[in-house]
Amino acid sequence: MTCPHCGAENTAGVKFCRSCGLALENSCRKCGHAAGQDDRFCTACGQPLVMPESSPDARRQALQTKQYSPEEIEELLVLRRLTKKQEIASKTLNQDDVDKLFG
Amino acid sequence: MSYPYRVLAIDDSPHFRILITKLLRRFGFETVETGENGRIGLQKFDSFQPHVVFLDGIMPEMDGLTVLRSIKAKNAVTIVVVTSSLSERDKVLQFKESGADLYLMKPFEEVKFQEVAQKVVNILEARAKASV
Repeated sequence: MTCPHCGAENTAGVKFCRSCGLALENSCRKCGHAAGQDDRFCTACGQPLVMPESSPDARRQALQTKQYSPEEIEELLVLRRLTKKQEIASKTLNQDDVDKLFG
Repeated sequence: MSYPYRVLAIDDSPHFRILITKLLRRFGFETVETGENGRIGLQKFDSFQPHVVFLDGIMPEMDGLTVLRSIKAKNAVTIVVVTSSLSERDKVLQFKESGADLYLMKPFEEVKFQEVAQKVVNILEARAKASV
């Protein structure tokens, strides 16, 4: 079975891609009913099985299944710390906050 | 009640200078001087030797932070109350780290001003007691 995400060849019947970790077994997210690779809707409950690439669910799934290198993880953590620092620095205070700050 | 403390108010807004002078006198500070910008404010600071300075955070020519640092370098015990509409945490922190004793956000209610004025009196009276 070829992984639709990274193109790696996987042995038949595996649930996740051996290369990128993408879930390969197609099943309905709503009712769990097994579905064929080409099914667009669940044959048990009618839930759409194919998500548009731009949907929040699709993006979340893509992020969840993406494999990060240690360097990428470090980069993401640095970015996250910087964003947090910026958020704190630019936070708008009211008089009560200021009073607490000045004791 | 009147207090024997000299107060200097530095603010580029003539309306604010009138308002703060009125409020200070209402709450017992009778010796009040004003300065319309940082440069004049610092000159008055030298000649008037105030116990307390109410300092605008945003002014043309010389901003409040620069004036605050100059005042604290001249006399670190002078109480400086920053009166400003600046509300970003990092900006407020800059004033605190540069020595501001209190921070009053503009616009403010008269009751809040009274609270700050009372805090100033408490600090000055505590110092006076400690020095006896």
